[in-house]
Amino acid sequence: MKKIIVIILIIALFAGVNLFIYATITRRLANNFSGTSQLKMIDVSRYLPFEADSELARTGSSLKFEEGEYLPVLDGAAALVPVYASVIDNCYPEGCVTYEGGRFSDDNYYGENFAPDSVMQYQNTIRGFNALVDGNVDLFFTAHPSAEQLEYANDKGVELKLVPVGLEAFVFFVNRGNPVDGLSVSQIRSIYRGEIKNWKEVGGANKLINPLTRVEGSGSQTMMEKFMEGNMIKSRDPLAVFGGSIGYSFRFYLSGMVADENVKMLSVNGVFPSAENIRNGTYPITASFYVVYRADDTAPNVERLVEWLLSPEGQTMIEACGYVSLS
Amino acid sequence: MSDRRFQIILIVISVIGIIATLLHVIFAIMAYRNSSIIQFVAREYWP
Repeated sequence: MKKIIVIILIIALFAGVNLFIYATITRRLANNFSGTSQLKMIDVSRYLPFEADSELARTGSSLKFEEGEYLPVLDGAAALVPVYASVIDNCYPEGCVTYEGGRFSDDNYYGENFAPDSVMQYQNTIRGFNALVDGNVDLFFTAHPSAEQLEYANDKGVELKLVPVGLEAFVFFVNRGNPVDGLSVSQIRSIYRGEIKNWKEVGGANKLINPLTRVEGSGSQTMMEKFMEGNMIKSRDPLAVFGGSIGYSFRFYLSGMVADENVKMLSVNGVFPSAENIRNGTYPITASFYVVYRADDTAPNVERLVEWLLSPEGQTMIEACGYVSLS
Repeated sequence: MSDRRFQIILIVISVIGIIATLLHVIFAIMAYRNSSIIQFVAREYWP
C-alpha cells in the first residue's frame, strides 16, 4: 500500500509542477490573432481598402490618383496599418490593392498575401523598412526608425527623408486587476533598470514586477530604448515571470487595434494618455510618427502624397484613424 | 509488489515525468518569445 501511495505522490508531483507552469505561463501565451502558427500583430482583414466593412477613416480627399499614373507603394508598422490603408482608400483608384490568388488571406506561413503589384503591402517594421531602403516600397509609415535601421540605410548609401505626420503616445499597461493605476517617469525607469522589483514599492500589491520588453528593432522597442536613455535591464529575475507584468506600446495599438478589456493603460506623472492630453502636451511621453521615403525617389506622386498627409484633409484623416494630428 | 518491480515503476514514472516537464518548459520558452505581450498581460491572474 505504501508503495502505491509513493507512486501516486510522484505522479501528483509532476502533475502539480506542470499544472503550475501551465496556469502561470503556458495558458497566457498566444498571438493576438492566430489562424496559423506565425506571429500576427494585428488583424489586417479589418483594414482592407475598398472593402465595405473595413474600419477605415473614409474622410474623403481632393487628391485622387487615376489608373495609369504611378501609384506609390505603401507599407508600414503594424500600429499604422489603419493610417496607410485609409490613405489608399481615400486617394487611390479601386483595384490597386491586389492579393495572391485574388482574395485576401492571412492564413499563410509568411503572413498576409498582398500581391507583388499591390500598392498596399504589410511587412511590418523590420522587413518593411528594409524593403523601403531596397527600393521595393515608396512610403513607409513608422515610429522613428532605430539606429540600426538608419545604419542599414547608410550602409546601402540611401538617404532617407523622415516627415512627421502625426502624434502618438507611448503608453505603459498592466492587467486590469493590478491595483496600480499610474506611475511616474522615474518609477518606470527604475522598474526597467531593475532598481524597483516589487509592486509594493510603487504602492501596489506585494508581488514581483515582470517588466516585459518587445522585439529588437520594433517601433515600440526603439521608442522604449530612447525613453530609457540607453540604460535598460538586459536580464530579469527569472522568478519575475510569475509576478505582475508591465508592458509598453503605442496608445492606439493598445486601445484601438488590439484592445483587450483585461488590460489597462497607466497614467504617467498623474496624466492619463487620452487624445486630449496628448494634444495639449500634458501627457509626458509622446512621439511623432513618420512617413519615410528615399530622397532619390523622384516619382511625382510620392511628394504629392506626403504634402496631402500634411494638409488639413490628411490631418483630418489621421484624427479619424484614432491618432492625434500635428496641429 | 516486489521491490524490484517498484523500483522499475518509479524509474519509468520519473523519466516520463522529467521528459514531459522539460518539453513543457521548452515549449513555454519558445512560445513566450513569440507571444503577444498584450495577451500575456491580459491573461495574468490577479486574485
